[in-house]
Amino acid sequence: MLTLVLPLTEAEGPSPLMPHTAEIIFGFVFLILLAIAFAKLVVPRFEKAYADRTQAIEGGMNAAKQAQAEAKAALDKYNAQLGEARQEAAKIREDAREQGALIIAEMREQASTEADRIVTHARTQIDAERAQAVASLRREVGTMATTLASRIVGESLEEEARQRRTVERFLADLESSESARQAVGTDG
Amino acid sequence: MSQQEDPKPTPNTSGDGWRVLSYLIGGILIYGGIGFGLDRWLGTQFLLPVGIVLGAGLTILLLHFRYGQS
Amino acid sequence: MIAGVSTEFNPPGPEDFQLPPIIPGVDWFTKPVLVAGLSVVLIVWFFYGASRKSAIVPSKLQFAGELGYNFVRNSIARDAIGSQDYMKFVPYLCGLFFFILLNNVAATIPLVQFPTFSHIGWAYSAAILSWVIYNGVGIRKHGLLGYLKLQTMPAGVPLWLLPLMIPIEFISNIVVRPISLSLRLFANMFAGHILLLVFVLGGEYLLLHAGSIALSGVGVITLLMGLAIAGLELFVQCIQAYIFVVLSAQYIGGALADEH
Repeated sequence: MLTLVLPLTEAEGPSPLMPHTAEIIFGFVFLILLAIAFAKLVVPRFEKAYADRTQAIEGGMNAAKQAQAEAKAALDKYNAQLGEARQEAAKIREDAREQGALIIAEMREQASTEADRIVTHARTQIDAERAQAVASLRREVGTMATTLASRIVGESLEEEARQRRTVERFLADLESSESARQAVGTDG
Repeated sequence: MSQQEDPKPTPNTSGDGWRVLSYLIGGILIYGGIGFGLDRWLGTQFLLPVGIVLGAGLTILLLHFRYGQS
Repeated sequence: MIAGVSTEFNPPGPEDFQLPPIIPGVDWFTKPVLVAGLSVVLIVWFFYGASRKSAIVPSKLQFAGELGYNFVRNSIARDAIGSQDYMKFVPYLCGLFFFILLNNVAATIPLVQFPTFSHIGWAYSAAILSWVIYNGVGIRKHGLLGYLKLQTMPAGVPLWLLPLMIPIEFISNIVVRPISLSLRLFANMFAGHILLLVFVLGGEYLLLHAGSIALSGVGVITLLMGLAIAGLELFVQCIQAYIFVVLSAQYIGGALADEH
Protein backbone atom coordinates (compact mmCIF):
# COMPACT_ATOMS: atom_id res chain seq x y z
CA MET A 1 0.00 0.00 0.00
CA LEU A 2 2.83 2.32 0.87
CA THR A 3 4.42 1.63 -2.47
CA LEU A 4 1.25 2.71 -4.15
CA VAL A 5 0.96 5.95 -2.23
CA LEU A 6 4.49 7.29 -2.19
CA PRO A 7 5.21 7.63 -5.92
CA LEU A 8 2.18 9.90 -6.24
CA THR A 9 3.56 12.40 -3.74
CA GLU A 10 7.10 12.27 -5.08
CA ALA A 11 6.62 13.16 -8.66
CA GLU A 12 10.18 14.36 -9.28
CA GLY A 13 12.31 11.22 -8.86
CA PRO A 14 11.88 7.51 -8.49
CA SER A 15 10.39 6.35 -5.19
CA PRO A 16 12.97 5.51 -2.52
CA LEU A 17 11.11 2.23 -2.16
CA MET A 18 12.06 1.20 -5.70
CA PRO A 19 15.34 -0.66 -5.52
CA HIS A 20 18.21 -0.46 -7.95
CA THR A 21 18.59 -3.89 -9.46
CA ALA A 22 22.36 -3.66 -9.27
CA GLU A 23 22.20 -3.01 -5.53
CA ILE A 24 19.96 -6.01 -4.87
CA ILE A 25 22.39 -8.20 -6.76
CA PHE A 26 25.37 -6.72 -4.93
CA GLY A 27 23.53 -7.23 -1.67
CA PHE A 28 23.13 -10.93 -2.37
CA VAL A 29 26.68 -11.31 -3.60
CA PHE A 30 28.24 -9.49 -0.67
CA LEU A 31 26.17 -11.29 1.97
CA ILE A 32 26.80 -14.72 0.48
CA LEU A 33 30.48 -13.88 0.12
CA LEU A 34 30.64 -12.86 3.77
CA ALA A 35 28.81 -15.99 4.90
CA ILE A 36 31.23 -18.17 2.95
CA ALA A 37 34.22 -16.25 4.27
CA PHE A 38 33.01 -16.68 7.84
CA ALA A 39 32.20 -20.36 7.30
CA LYS A 40 35.53 -21.16 5.71
CA LEU A 41 37.98 -18.83 7.38
CA VAL A 42 36.70 -17.51 10.65
CA VAL A 43 34.31 -19.90 12.36
CA PRO A 44 36.50 -23.03 12.20
CA ARG A 45 39.48 -21.15 13.58
CA PHE A 46 37.62 -19.53 16.47
CA GLU A 47 35.92 -22.82 17.27
CA LYS A 48 39.30 -24.53 17.23
CA ALA A 49 40.61 -21.94 19.66
CA TYR A 50 37.62 -22.58 21.93
CA ALA A 51 38.04 -26.34 21.73
CA ASP A 52 41.77 -26.03 22.45
CA ARG A 53 41.02 -23.79 25.37
CA THR A 54 38.52 -26.24 26.83
CA GLN A 55 40.94 -29.07 26.31
CA ALA A 56 43.74 -27.11 27.91
CA ILE A 57 41.63 -26.50 30.99
CA GLU A 58 40.47 -30.11 31.15
CA GLY A 59 43.98 -31.35 30.40
CA GLY A 60 45.34 -29.21 33.23
CA MET A 61 42.79 -30.69 35.59
CA ASN A 62 43.67 -34.18 34.45
CA ALA A 63 47.35 -33.46 34.90
CA ALA A 64 46.71 -32.19 38.42
CA LYS A 65 44.68 -35.31 39.18
CA GLN A 66 47.44 -37.47 37.82
CA ALA A 67 50.06 -35.61 39.81
CA GLN A 68 47.98 -36.11 42.93
CA ALA A 69 47.66 -39.82 42.23
CA GLU A 70 51.38 -40.01 41.62
CA ALA A 71 52.12 -38.22 44.86
CA LYS A 72 49.81 -40.57 46.69
CA ALA A 73 51.47 -43.57 45.09
CA ALA A 74 54.87 -42.21 46.05
CA LEU A 75 53.71 -41.68 49.61
CA ASP A 76 52.32 -45.20 49.77
CA LYS A 77 55.50 -46.59 48.38
CA TYR A 78 57.55 -44.56 50.81
CA ASN A 79 55.41 -45.74 53.71
CA ALA A 80 55.68 -49.32 52.56
CA GLN A 81 59.41 -48.98 52.24
CA LEU A 82 59.62 -47.39 55.64
CA GLY A 83 57.68 -50.28 57.17
CA GLU A 84 59.85 -52.77 55.38
CA ALA A 85 62.97 -51.01 56.55
CA ARG A 86 61.70 -50.98 60.08
CA GLN A 87 60.93 -54.65 59.90
CA GLU A 88 64.27 -55.34 58.42
CA ALA A 89 65.99 -53.33 61.09
CA ALA A 90 64.15 -55.30 63.74
CA LYS A 91 65.16 -58.50 62.02
CA ILE A 92 68.75 -57.40 61.78
CA ARG A 93 68.76 -56.48 65.41
CA GLU A 94 67.28 -59.85 66.29
CA ASP A 95 69.83 -61.58 64.12
CA ALA A 96 72.62 -59.62 65.66
CA ARG A 97 71.41 -60.52 69.10
CA GLU A 98 71.25 -64.16 68.17
CA GLN A 99 74.56 -64.06 66.47
CA GLY A 100 76.10 -62.25 69.39
CA ALA A 101 74.79 -64.88 71.74
CA LEU A 102 76.11 -67.56 69.45
CA ILE A 103 79.50 -65.89 69.25
CA ILE A 104 79.67 -65.53 72.98
CA ALA A 105 78.74 -69.16 73.44
CA GLU A 106 81.27 -70.19 70.88
CA MET A 107 83.95 -68.05 72.47
CA ARG A 108 83.10 -69.43 75.81
CA GLU A 109 83.36 -72.93 74.51
CA GLN A 110 86.57 -72.13 72.76
CA ALA A 111 87.96 -70.54 75.88
CA SER A 112 87.05 -73.50 77.98
CA THR A 113 88.55 -75.87 75.42
CA GLU A 114 91.65 -73.80 75.37
CA ALA A 115 91.75 -73.75 79.11
CA ASP A 116 91.36 -77.51 79.17
CA ARG A 117 94.02 -77.82 76.65
CA ILE A 118 96.35 -75.62 78.63
CA VAL A 119 95.64 -77.52 81.83
CA THR A 120 96.22 -80.84 80.09
CA HIS A 121 99.41 -79.58 78.61
CA ALA A 122 100.59 -78.27 81.90
CA ARG A 123 99.73 -81.48 83.58
CA THR A 124 101.61 -83.53 80.96
CA GLN A 125 104.57 -81.29 81.39
CA ILE A 126 104.42 -81.57 85.10
CA ASP A 127 104.20 -85.33 84.81
CA ALA A 128 107.15 -85.43 82.51
CA GLU A 129 109.14 -83.20 84.74
CA ARG A 130 108.26 -85.26 87.73
CA ALA A 131 109.18 -88.42 85.91
CA GLN A 132 112.46 -86.86 85.07
CA ALA A 133 112.88 -85.73 88.62
CA VAL A 134 111.99 -89.17 89.85
CA ALA A 135 114.50 -90.72 87.52
CA SER A 136 117.28 -88.40 88.53
CA LEU A 137 116.28 -88.74 92.15
CA ARG A 138 116.29 -92.46 91.85
CA ARG A 139 119.74 -92.32 90.47
CA GLU A 140 120.95 -90.01 93.09
CA VAL A 141 119.22 -91.89 95.87
CA GLY A 142 120.79 -95.09 94.58
CA THR A 143 124.20 -93.55 94.60
CA MET A 144 123.59 -91.98 97.91
CA ALA A 145 122.24 -95.21 99.39
CA THR A 146 125.13 -97.13 98.03
CA THR A 147 127.52 -94.62 99.35
CA LEU A 148 125.74 -94.64 102.66
CA ALA A 149 125.55 -98.36 102.84
CA SER A 150 129.22 -98.62 101.96
CA ARG A 151 129.98 -96.27 104.63
CA ILE A 152 127.94 -98.22 107.09
CA VAL A 153 128.76 -101.75 105.94
CA GLY A 154 132.21 -101.01 104.66
CA GLU A 155 133.77 -102.38 101.53
CA SER A 156 131.67 -105.64 101.53
CA LEU A 157 129.16 -104.18 99.22
CA GLU A 158 131.61 -103.23 96.60
CA GLU A 159 131.08 -106.30 94.74
CA GLU A 160 129.12 -105.31 91.79
CA ALA A 161 126.56 -108.07 91.66
CA ARG A 162 125.60 -107.69 95.14
CA GLN A 163 125.48 -104.01 94.97
CA ARG A 164 123.09 -103.97 92.02
CA ARG A 165 120.75 -106.44 93.68
CA THR A 166 120.55 -104.49 96.79
CA VAL A 167 119.88 -101.24 95.04
CA GLU A 168 117.19 -102.73 92.90
CA ARG A 169 115.40 -104.25 95.82
CA PHE A 170 115.50 -100.98 97.57
CA LEU A 171 114.14 -99.10 94.58
CA ALA A 172 111.34 -101.57 94.01
CA ASP A 173 110.28 -101.07 97.55
CA LEU A 174 110.57 -97.38 97.18
CA GLU A 175 108.58 -97.39 93.93
CA SER A 176 105.70 -99.43 95.22
CA SER A 177 105.34 -97.21 98.20
CA GLU A 178 105.75 -94.18 95.99
CA SER A 179 103.04 -95.17 93.49
CA ALA A 180 100.63 -96.02 96.28
CA ARG A 181 101.22 -92.64 97.79
CA GLN A 182 100.87 -90.88 94.41
CA ALA A 183 97.53 -92.57 93.72
CA VAL A 184 96.24 -91.37 96.99
CA GLY A 185 97.62 -87.83 96.24
CA THR A 186 96.01 -87.36 92.80
CA ASP A 187 92.68 -88.57 93.98
CA GLY A 188 92.77 -86.15 96.72
CA MET B 1 35.09 -16.60 26.95
CA SER B 2 34.01 -20.14 27.66
CA GLN B 3 30.98 -21.10 25.65
CA GLN B 4 30.93 -24.83 25.74
CA GLU B 5 28.72 -24.89 28.81
CA ASP B 6 25.10 -23.91 29.46
CA PRO B 7 23.36 -25.93 26.75
CA LYS B 8 19.99 -24.55 27.82
CA PRO B 9 20.02 -20.82 27.12
CA THR B 10 17.29 -18.54 28.31
CA PRO B 11 15.02 -17.57 25.42
CA ASN B 12 15.79 -14.21 23.94
CA THR B 13 12.76 -11.97 24.16
CA SER B 14 14.33 -8.90 22.62
CA GLY B 15 12.51 -9.44 19.31
CA ASP B 16 9.07 -10.15 20.74
CA GLY B 17 7.88 -6.58 20.38
CA TRP B 18 8.70 -6.59 16.71
CA ARG B 19 6.98 -9.93 16.21
CA VAL B 20 3.85 -8.57 17.87
CA LEU B 21 3.98 -5.62 15.53
CA SER B 22 4.32 -7.92 12.55
CA TYR B 23 1.29 -9.88 13.73
CA LEU B 24 -0.75 -6.68 14.02
CA ILE B 25 0.27 -5.55 10.56
CA GLY B 26 -0.48 -8.98 9.16
CA GLY B 27 -3.91 -9.21 10.78
CA ILE B 28 -4.98 -5.76 9.72
CA LEU B 29 -3.57 -6.29 6.24
CA ILE B 30 -5.35 -9.57 5.56
CA TYR B 31 -8.76 -8.69 6.98
CA GLY B 32 -8.62 -5.11 5.76
CA GLY B 33 -7.70 -6.48 2.36
CA ILE B 34 -10.61 -8.90 2.43
CA GLY B 35 -12.93 -6.05 3.40
CA PHE B 36 -11.50 -3.85 0.64
CA GLY B 37 -12.04 -6.57 -1.92
CA LEU B 38 -15.56 -7.24 -0.77
CA ASP B 39 -16.33 -3.49 -0.92
CA ARG B 40 -15.13 -3.42 -4.52
CA TRP B 41 -17.06 -6.53 -5.41
CA LEU B 42 -20.30 -5.68 -3.66
CA GLY B 43 -20.14 -1.93 -4.19
CA THR B 44 -20.37 -1.29 -0.44
CA GLN B 45 -18.42 1.16 1.67
CA PHE B 46 -18.32 -0.19 5.21
CA LEU B 47 -16.50 -3.52 4.84
CA LEU B 48 -12.97 -2.10 4.77
CA PRO B 49 -13.17 -0.50 8.24
CA VAL B 50 -14.99 -3.56 9.55
CA GLY B 51 -12.23 -5.74 8.17
CA ILE B 52 -9.52 -3.59 9.74
CA VAL B 53 -11.18 -3.64 13.15
CA LEU B 54 -11.86 -7.38 12.86
CA GLY B 55 -8.26 -8.02 11.88
CA ALA B 56 -6.93 -5.98 14.75
CA GLY B 57 -9.29 -7.65 17.20
CA LEU B 58 -8.44 -11.14 16.01
CA THR B 59 -4.75 -10.40 16.14
CA ILE B 60 -5.02 -9.21 19.71
CA LEU B 61 -6.92 -12.38 20.55
CA LEU B 62 -4.23 -14.40 18.83
CA LEU B 63 -1.50 -12.61 20.75
CA HIS B 64 -3.44 -13.29 23.93
CA PHE B 65 -3.48 -17.01 23.20
CA ARG B 66 0.05 -17.05 21.98
CA TYR B 67 1.93 -14.96 24.49
CA GLY B 68 -0.55 -14.18 27.26
CA GLN B 69 -0.92 -17.60 28.73
CA SER B 70 2.61 -18.70 29.47
CA MET C 1 24.63 22.50 -1.84
CA ILE C 2 21.66 24.05 -3.54
CA ALA C 3 21.63 26.69 -0.85
CA GLY C 4 24.94 27.98 -2.20
CA VAL C 5 23.36 28.80 -5.54
CA SER C 6 19.95 30.16 -4.72
CA THR C 7 19.15 32.07 -1.60
CA GLU C 8 16.02 30.04 -1.02
CA PHE C 9 16.30 27.07 1.35
CA ASN C 10 15.63 23.74 -0.29
CA PRO C 11 14.57 21.12 2.27
CA PRO C 12 16.35 17.77 1.79
CA GLY C 13 14.28 14.97 0.34
CA PRO C 14 14.51 11.61 -1.41
CA GLU C 15 16.31 13.22 -4.32
CA ASP C 16 19.33 13.68 -2.03
CA PHE C 17 19.72 9.92 -2.08
CA GLN C 18 20.11 9.82 -5.85
CA LEU C 19 23.87 9.79 -6.10
CA PRO C 20 25.65 9.98 -9.43
CA PRO C 21 27.78 7.01 -10.44
CA ILE C 22 31.37 7.31 -9.23
CA ILE C 23 32.71 6.61 -12.71
CA PRO C 24 30.54 8.37 -15.28
CA GLY C 25 28.91 5.86 -17.58
CA VAL C 26 29.19 2.91 -15.16
CA ASP C 27 25.70 3.20 -13.72
CA TRP C 28 25.88 0.33 -11.27
CA PHE C 29 29.03 1.55 -9.53
CA THR C 30 27.52 3.94 -7.00
CA LYS C 31 28.72 5.10 -3.61
CA PRO C 32 26.75 2.45 -1.70
CA VAL C 33 28.30 -0.28 -3.83
CA LEU C 34 31.75 1.09 -3.08
CA VAL C 35 31.06 1.43 0.64
CA ALA C 36 29.49 -2.02 0.87
CA GLY C 37 32.35 -3.57 -1.04
CA LEU C 38 34.89 -1.89 1.22
CA SER C 39 32.97 -3.09 4.25
CA VAL C 40 33.15 -6.67 2.98
CA VAL C 41 36.89 -6.38 2.50
CA LEU C 42 37.29 -4.81 5.93
CA ILE C 43 35.21 -7.44 7.71
CA VAL C 44 36.97 -10.36 6.06
CA TRP C 45 40.38 -8.80 6.62
CA PHE C 46 39.72 -8.10 10.29
CA PHE C 47 38.19 -11.44 11.17
CA TYR C 48 40.70 -13.37 9.12
CA GLY C 49 43.50 -11.59 10.92
CA ALA C 50 41.88 -12.06 14.29
CA SER C 51 41.14 -15.75 13.89
CA ARG C 52 44.18 -16.78 11.88
CA LYS C 53 46.29 -18.00 14.79
CA SER C 54 43.39 -19.49 16.78
CA ALA C 55 45.59 -19.31 19.86
CA ILE C 56 44.56 -20.61 23.25
CA VAL C 57 45.76 -17.39 24.81
CA PRO C 58 44.40 -14.75 22.45
CA SER C 59 46.26 -11.68 21.30
CA LYS C 60 44.54 -8.32 21.56
CA LEU C 61 43.38 -8.58 17.96
CA GLN C 62 42.07 -12.10 18.41
CA PHE C 63 40.38 -11.07 21.64
CA ALA C 64 38.57 -8.24 19.86
CA GLY C 65 37.54 -10.58 17.06
CA GLU C 66 36.31 -13.15 19.54
CA LEU C 67 34.33 -10.51 21.36
CA GLY C 68 32.38 -9.66 18.21
CA TYR C 69 32.13 -13.25 17.07
CA ASN C 70 30.97 -14.43 20.50
CA PHE C 71 28.32 -11.75 20.62
CA VAL C 72 26.67 -13.00 17.44
CA ARG C 73 27.36 -16.65 18.18
CA ASN C 74 26.09 -16.77 21.75
CA SER C 75 23.85 -13.78 22.36
CA ILE C 76 22.07 -13.89 19.03
CA ALA C 77 22.39 -17.27 17.33
CA ARG C 78 22.46 -19.66 20.27
CA ASP C 79 19.80 -17.86 22.27
CA ALA C 80 17.37 -17.63 19.36
CA ILE C 81 17.99 -20.92 17.55
CA GLY C 82 18.94 -23.20 20.42
CA SER C 83 22.18 -25.00 21.10
CA GLN C 84 21.37 -27.92 18.81
CA ASP C 85 21.33 -26.27 15.39
CA TYR C 86 22.73 -22.81 15.83
CA MET C 87 26.29 -23.44 14.64
CA LYS C 88 25.11 -23.94 11.04
CA PHE C 89 23.77 -20.38 10.94
CA VAL C 90 26.60 -18.60 12.75
CA PRO C 91 28.52 -17.80 9.54
CA TYR C 92 25.51 -16.23 7.84
CA LEU C 93 24.39 -14.35 10.95
CA CYS C 94 27.92 -13.10 11.60
CA GLY C 95 28.30 -11.88 8.05
CA LEU C 96 24.86 -10.30 8.12
CA PHE C 97 25.43 -8.56 11.43
CA PHE C 98 28.82 -7.10 10.66
CA PHE C 99 27.79 -6.15 7.16
CA ILE C 100 24.75 -4.20 8.35
CA LEU C 101 26.63 -2.76 11.31
CA LEU C 102 29.55 -1.48 9.28
CA ASN C 103 27.36 -0.06 6.55
CA ASN C 104 25.10 1.66 9.06
CA VAL C 105 27.97 3.10 11.04
CA ALA C 106 29.51 4.25 7.75
CA ALA C 107 26.83 6.95 7.77
CA THR C 108 28.59 8.51 10.75
CA ILE C 109 32.13 8.08 9.48
CA PRO C 110 33.46 11.29 7.93
CA LEU C 111 33.96 11.25 4.14
CA VAL C 112 31.71 8.20 3.79
CA GLN C 113 28.68 9.60 5.56
CA PHE C 114 26.14 7.70 3.61
CA PRO C 115 24.07 4.82 4.98
CA THR C 116 24.14 2.02 2.43
CA PHE C 117 20.81 0.68 3.65
CA SER C 118 19.03 3.94 2.90
CA HIS C 119 19.01 2.48 -0.60
CA ILE C 120 16.29 -0.07 -0.15
CA GLY C 121 17.78 -2.59 -2.57
CA TRP C 122 20.33 -3.60 0.09
CA ALA C 123 17.65 -4.05 2.70
CA TYR C 124 15.57 -6.09 0.28
CA SER C 125 18.38 -8.45 -0.54
CA ALA C 126 19.28 -8.98 3.12
CA ALA C 127 15.63 -9.59 4.04
CA ILE C 128 15.04 -11.92 1.09
CA LEU C 129 18.14 -13.91 2.00
CA SER C 130 16.94 -14.31 5.58
CA TRP C 131 13.45 -15.20 4.32
CA VAL C 132 14.80 -17.86 1.97
CA ILE C 133 16.97 -19.31 4.69
CA TYR C 134 14.34 -19.57 7.42
CA ASN C 135 11.68 -20.93 5.10
CA GLY C 136 14.18 -23.25 3.46
CA VAL C 137 15.43 -24.83 6.67
CA GLY C 138 11.86 -25.05 7.97
CA ILE C 139 10.62 -26.87 4.88
CA ARG C 140 13.67 -29.11 4.88
CA LYS C 141 13.06 -30.10 8.46
CA HIS C 142 9.27 -30.45 8.57
CA GLY C 143 8.34 -30.92 4.93
CA LEU C 144 6.22 -28.36 3.11
CA LEU C 145 2.92 -29.24 4.76
CA GLY C 146 4.42 -29.76 8.16
CA TYR C 147 6.16 -26.41 7.88
CA LEU C 148 3.01 -24.59 6.77
CA LYS C 149 1.14 -26.19 9.66
CA LEU C 150 3.88 -25.08 12.03
CA GLN C 151 3.84 -21.51 10.75
CA THR C 152 0.06 -21.08 10.41
CA MET C 153 -1.51 -23.07 13.25
CA PRO C 154 -0.96 -21.22 16.49
CA ALA C 155 -0.99 -23.41 19.56
CA GLY C 156 -3.47 -22.72 22.33
CA VAL C 157 -6.12 -21.15 20.10
CA PRO C 158 -9.64 -22.62 20.39
CA LEU C 159 -10.60 -24.76 17.42
CA TRP C 160 -13.46 -22.55 16.23
CA LEU C 161 -11.14 -19.56 16.02
CA LEU C 162 -8.48 -21.39 14.10
CA PRO C 163 -9.83 -20.72 10.57
CA LEU C 164 -9.81 -17.01 11.33
CA MET C 165 -6.31 -17.14 12.77
CA ILE C 166 -4.62 -19.12 10.01
CA PRO C 167 -4.63 -16.20 7.51
CA ILE C 168 -3.21 -13.85 10.11
CA GLU C 169 -0.44 -16.29 10.98
CA PHE C 170 0.33 -16.96 7.37
CA ILE C 171 0.44 -13.30 6.38
CA SER C 172 2.47 -12.21 9.37
CA ASN C 173 4.90 -15.13 9.33
CA ILE C 174 5.45 -15.54 5.61
CA VAL C 175 4.57 -12.21 4.02
CA VAL C 176 4.97 -9.41 6.54
CA ARG C 177 8.19 -10.64 8.08
CA PRO C 178 10.53 -9.96 5.15
CA ILE C 179 8.76 -6.71 4.34
CA SER C 180 8.93 -5.41 7.88
CA LEU C 181 12.50 -6.64 8.19
CA SER C 182 13.63 -4.68 5.15
CA LEU C 183 11.42 -1.64 5.65
CA ARG C 184 12.43 -1.22 9.28
CA LEU C 185 16.10 -1.15 8.43
CA PHE C 186 15.64 1.00 5.35
CA ALA C 187 13.29 3.48 7.02
CA ASN C 188 15.54 3.96 10.02
CA MET C 189 18.56 4.64 7.87
CA PHE C 190 16.64 6.79 5.42
CA ALA C 191 14.91 8.87 8.06
CA GLY C 192 18.06 9.18 10.12
CA HIS C 193 19.97 10.48 7.16
CA ILE C 194 17.22 12.94 6.21
CA LEU C 195 17.05 14.14 9.80
CA LEU C 196 20.78 14.70 9.79
CA LEU C 197 20.58 16.51 6.44
CA VAL C 198 17.81 18.75 7.72
CA PHE C 199 19.85 19.80 10.71
CA VAL C 200 23.15 20.15 8.92
CA LEU C 201 21.89 21.82 5.73
CA GLY C 202 19.37 23.93 7.63
CA GLY C 203 22.00 25.00 10.14
CA GLU C 204 24.41 25.83 7.34
CA TYR C 205 21.75 27.87 5.53
CA LEU C 206 20.79 29.75 8.66
CA LEU C 207 24.43 30.42 9.52
CA LEU C 208 25.64 31.55 6.11
CA HIS C 209 22.70 32.69 4.00
CA ALA C 210 19.88 33.90 6.23
CA GLY C 211 21.52 37.31 6.45
CA SER C 212 20.83 38.11 10.08
CA ILE C 213 23.06 37.66 13.14
CA ALA C 214 20.21 36.25 15.23
CA LEU C 215 19.44 33.65 12.62
CA SER C 216 23.14 32.83 12.37
CA GLY C 217 23.11 32.11 16.11
CA VAL C 218 20.14 29.82 15.61
CA GLY C 219 22.13 28.18 12.83
CA VAL C 220 24.97 27.41 15.25
CA ILE C 221 22.50 25.87 17.69
CA THR C 222 20.99 23.85 14.85
CA LEU C 223 24.38 22.53 13.85
CA LEU C 224 25.08 21.54 17.47
CA MET C 225 21.72 19.78 17.51
CA GLY C 226 22.80 18.03 14.33
CA LEU C 227 25.86 16.76 16.22
CA ALA C 228 23.61 15.35 18.94
CA ILE C 229 21.38 13.79 16.28
CA ALA C 230 24.46 12.19 14.77
CA GLY C 231 25.22 10.63 18.16
CA LEU C 232 21.67 9.37 18.44
CA GLU C 233 21.89 8.02 14.91
CA LEU C 234 25.03 6.09 15.79
CA PHE C 235 23.03 4.37 18.49
CA VAL C 236 20.11 3.69 16.14
CA GLN C 237 22.49 2.32 13.51
CA CYS C 238 23.87 -0.24 15.92
CA ILE C 239 20.43 -1.16 17.28
CA GLN C 240 19.03 -1.69 13.80
CA ALA C 241 21.84 -4.04 12.84
CA TYR C 242 21.20 -5.97 16.03
CA ILE C 243 17.40 -6.07 15.53
CA PHE C 244 17.71 -7.30 11.96
CA VAL C 245 19.99 -10.16 12.92
CA VAL C 246 18.11 -11.09 16.09
CA LEU C 247 14.86 -11.28 14.16
CA SER C 248 16.47 -13.31 11.39
CA ALA C 249 17.83 -15.71 13.99
CA GLN C 250 14.45 -15.93 15.72
CA TYR C 251 12.70 -16.66 12.45
CA ILE C 252 15.18 -19.46 11.84
CA GLY C 253 14.68 -20.73 15.37
CA GLY C 254 10.91 -20.60 14.93
CA ALA C 255 11.10 -22.48 11.64
CA LEU C 256 13.20 -25.20 13.28
CA ALA C 257 11.08 -25.42 16.44
CA ASP C 258 9.33 -28.71 17.09
CA GLU C 259 6.13 -27.10 18.20
CA HIS C 260 5.01 -23.74 19.43
